[in-house]
Amino acid sequence: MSEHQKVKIEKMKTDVIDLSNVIIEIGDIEKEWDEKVGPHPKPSMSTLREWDFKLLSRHKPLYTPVCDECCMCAFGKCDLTQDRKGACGIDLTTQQARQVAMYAAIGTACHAAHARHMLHHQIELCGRDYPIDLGDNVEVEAPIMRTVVGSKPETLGDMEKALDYAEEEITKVLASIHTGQEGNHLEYESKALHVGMIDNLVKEIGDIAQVVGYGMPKGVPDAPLAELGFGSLDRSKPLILLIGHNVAGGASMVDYLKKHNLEDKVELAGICCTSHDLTRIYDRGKIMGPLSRTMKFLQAGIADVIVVDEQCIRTDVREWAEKTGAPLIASSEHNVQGLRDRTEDDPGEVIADLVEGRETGAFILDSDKVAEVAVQTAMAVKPRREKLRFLPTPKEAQKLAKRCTTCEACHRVCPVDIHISEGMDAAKEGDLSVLAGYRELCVGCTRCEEACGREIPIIKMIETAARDEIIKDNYRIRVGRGPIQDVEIRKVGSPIVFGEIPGIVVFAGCSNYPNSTVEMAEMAEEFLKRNFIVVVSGCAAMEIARHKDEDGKTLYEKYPGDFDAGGLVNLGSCLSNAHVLGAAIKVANIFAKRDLRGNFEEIADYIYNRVGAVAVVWGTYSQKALAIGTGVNRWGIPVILGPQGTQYRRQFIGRKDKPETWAGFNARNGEAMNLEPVPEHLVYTPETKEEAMVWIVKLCLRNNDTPKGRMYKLEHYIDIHQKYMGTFPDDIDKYIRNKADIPLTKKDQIMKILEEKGWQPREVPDPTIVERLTRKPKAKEAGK
Amino acid sequence: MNRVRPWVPTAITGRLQGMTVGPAAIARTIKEADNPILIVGAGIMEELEGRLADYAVRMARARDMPVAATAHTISVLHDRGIQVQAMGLSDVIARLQDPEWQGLNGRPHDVAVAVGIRPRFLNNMFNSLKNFSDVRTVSIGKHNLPNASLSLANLTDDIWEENLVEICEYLER
Ligand code: SF4
Ligand code: SF4
Ligand code: SF4
Repeated sequence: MSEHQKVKIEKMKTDVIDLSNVIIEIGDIEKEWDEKVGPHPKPSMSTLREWDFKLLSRHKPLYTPVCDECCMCAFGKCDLTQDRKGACGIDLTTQQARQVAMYAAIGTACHAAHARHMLHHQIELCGRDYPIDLGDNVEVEAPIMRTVVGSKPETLGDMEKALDYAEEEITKVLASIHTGQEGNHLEYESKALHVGMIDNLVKEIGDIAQVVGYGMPKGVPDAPLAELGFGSLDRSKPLILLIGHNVAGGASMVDYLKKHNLEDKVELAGICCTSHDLTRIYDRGKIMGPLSRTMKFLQAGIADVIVVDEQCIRTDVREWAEKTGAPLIASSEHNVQGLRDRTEDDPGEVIADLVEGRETGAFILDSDKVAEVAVQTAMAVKPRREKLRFLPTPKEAQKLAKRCTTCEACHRVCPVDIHISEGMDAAKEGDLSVLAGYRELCVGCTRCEEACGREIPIIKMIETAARDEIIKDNYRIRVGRGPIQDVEIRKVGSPIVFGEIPGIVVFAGCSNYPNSTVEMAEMAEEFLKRNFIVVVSGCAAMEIARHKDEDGKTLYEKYPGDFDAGGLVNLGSCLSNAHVLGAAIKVANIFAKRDLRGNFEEIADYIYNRVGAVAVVWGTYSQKALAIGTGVNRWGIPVILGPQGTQYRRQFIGRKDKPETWAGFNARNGEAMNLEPVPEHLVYTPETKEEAMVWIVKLCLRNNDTPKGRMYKLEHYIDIHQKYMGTFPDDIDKYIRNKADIPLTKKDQIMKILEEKGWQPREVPDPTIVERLTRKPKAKEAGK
Repeated sequence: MNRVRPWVPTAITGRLQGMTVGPAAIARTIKEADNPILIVGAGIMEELEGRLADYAVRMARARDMPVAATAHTISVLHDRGIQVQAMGLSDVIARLQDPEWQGLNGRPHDVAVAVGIRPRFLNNMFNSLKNFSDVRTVSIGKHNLPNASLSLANLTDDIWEENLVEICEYLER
């Protein structure tokens, strides 16, 4: 909402000055916005710590150190075991929180750098004054930015200042991590929450920039279906494989293919979020799969040219590109891969060097040149690469298996606990079916191959064993739709807040799962059938697409893309998942008429107590996923991590058995009271998907649920508990405030439990955990 | 101390590692504990073709140990006729670190015994107890965990089952 103005003075003469042809540039004139400014525009690192401490007193950190030592400065290593302190005075608890803050800052920095690049790039392409137009149905264009920064962007240029603010905050958090700063773990947790909130903001900016600049779908519920999987490729065409998150290079390739009429001649496909964004701009773009598929495709040598941009890319991509003779183009400063900078060189020369094998790759920072070099090189090398084979034949696989000594070194390091030697034993006898069965479990981390002293190419053997299935890998996924429309919020605002839509479940995160990837699709379908709103993004959205029902349909083909009960909403890439938080904020704004401008605390308090949303990060891998989760935590949205989430070192655990930890207020009269223990946890790590599903329902309970809403939610809670736990939940009395909350179908059983537990009805307050947001009676205010 | 390489080679988190012991030492520790708690995870449903659940129940009965049924194990344990408390693993671990917590049976627990939980997960959770509580931890899984105060070695299923039988018999004495 700020704007640059230029004023040209051709001639001006007074007693004091004499000017001719002077241009005066006036930066940042605040544009009009009739919403009043709230208490916290552009909150600094410590501005919202009181809010954070309120959350942290309800949901205390539970630390699971992955390392009991610290080697962050040259004083180290320091032993922090139990109550020992490091040479700087830090203890293990504070060190855990410090690490969480550091990793969240790294994740946020990644998204911020991505957003900065994308915004620069779009300003270069479209101009600083290019309007932010997200279509007729989206008026609240940037809910996170409005709330956090306190500004309302109208043009691309308006978002630059918000990014300046974000970058400053990231720097502050990183500075606080230096040796000899905070001595209290809660301070670092507050900083982690702060930088997580900044992560929300920068993702929103990055995605808005690309949606308006590239003309991606603008909150369209019926966005088209795209193809996903190896089987979707036309193998007779050259394949350019994009890996990473920043689609700038991919977008230029689309332009190049269209301009030169080559769309029919070249396959453009991607791995990870760059492929989501590719399909948002190119209807022929293909998604190969999430991060966990990278190594499988690299080792199989399917790409004719590999183009890497940034984030979550195998760092040994160059080695595999060279082993399979695929020229590699690095297109981001974040990931140059030791390649020679060819940005200023004539594309023809670069292409010749790559095609003739004089160089194995090139670092090119100009996206138009990346496009030309990638397309022309892929077409030139395809004929000679066509006959290359990198996977062993079944016979060769059997021979390789005979090298196995069943030493179990691979099993011990496998993060998903695959008993590889059993597959090898079967393969020795010519039975590859056991190895083939590992395909859906294996997350392609290569740890097993690193551990194997017999140099057995385990991943390649699994791929060979499953080759018949791989060829059939062809799924449909709904293209990322970007923001949620205001009209959708008007429709669902009331049922969400009053609880008739039992919850919003967000599946996000990476793709290293404890069990078969089918688990996420199963969980998503369970909640779609229960009329939750299911929102997905990133690698999670891809994995959910990789499973079909008996009619051969994926969930995207069976459920609509509306942000409504029973809708399966694919937002798009990691950047786009900011829009689900945006939707929760819009509920507060559009439905409940709460002001957003600089008003973080009130909006977060609203979401925490009223919007039944929960995020599931079943695959925990990147620092970005940690930042994403920590960010939504600050707005009061709980996060369920997959079983490997303990590696993030910290959960936020509430204690329903300690009523005094749930202190809050009845906003109606300002009365201090203990609220209900909901949502119970802010970060929780279940062991199994069955347990996760019970938690999903439970973490959608909110203090403000109406009797009808609470009844619906409890009906689901009891039902899902009986379905997956096999028993009636034993804590139902904690969530029944009065008899109107009791699900009718279970009334007798519940009444019996309530009697046994000596249950008493309770007041249903207008809940808040922020005292200043209460409406105190006049008498009390006047001190009478 | 008998040194065994942990099942997960990178599971050692620091200087302080637990002991690798045989079934007799484990059984003795459980028996002599003031108020042990048995934490039972999802693995009991699959390991040893489901017989692990039987051993868990046998131990709980023999030592009169309160049981925290984590994940979705509650009905499997109910089916075997034992009263348990359904509680997530993180909930149990958080409570065990709270000096005010009066345990599952009205008294604080001094020893936490776990079975049926993935080694990586349990090793992390036990590290929380190792560093932030006085509770001693015992793993009776088949994988060696350096963050358990006491852990079995890395065992084949056959030897593991023999160990479990030995622990049960000791506790039943
Ligand atoms: S930062 Fe502190 S604990 Fe870490 S190595 Fe340095 S002195 Fe030791
Ligand atoms: S590559 Fe697959 S099989 Fe090998 S360790 Fe990783 S997940 Fe396990
Ligand atoms: S590490 Fe290699 S030799 Fe050992 S069991 Fe695994 S595949 Fe076989």
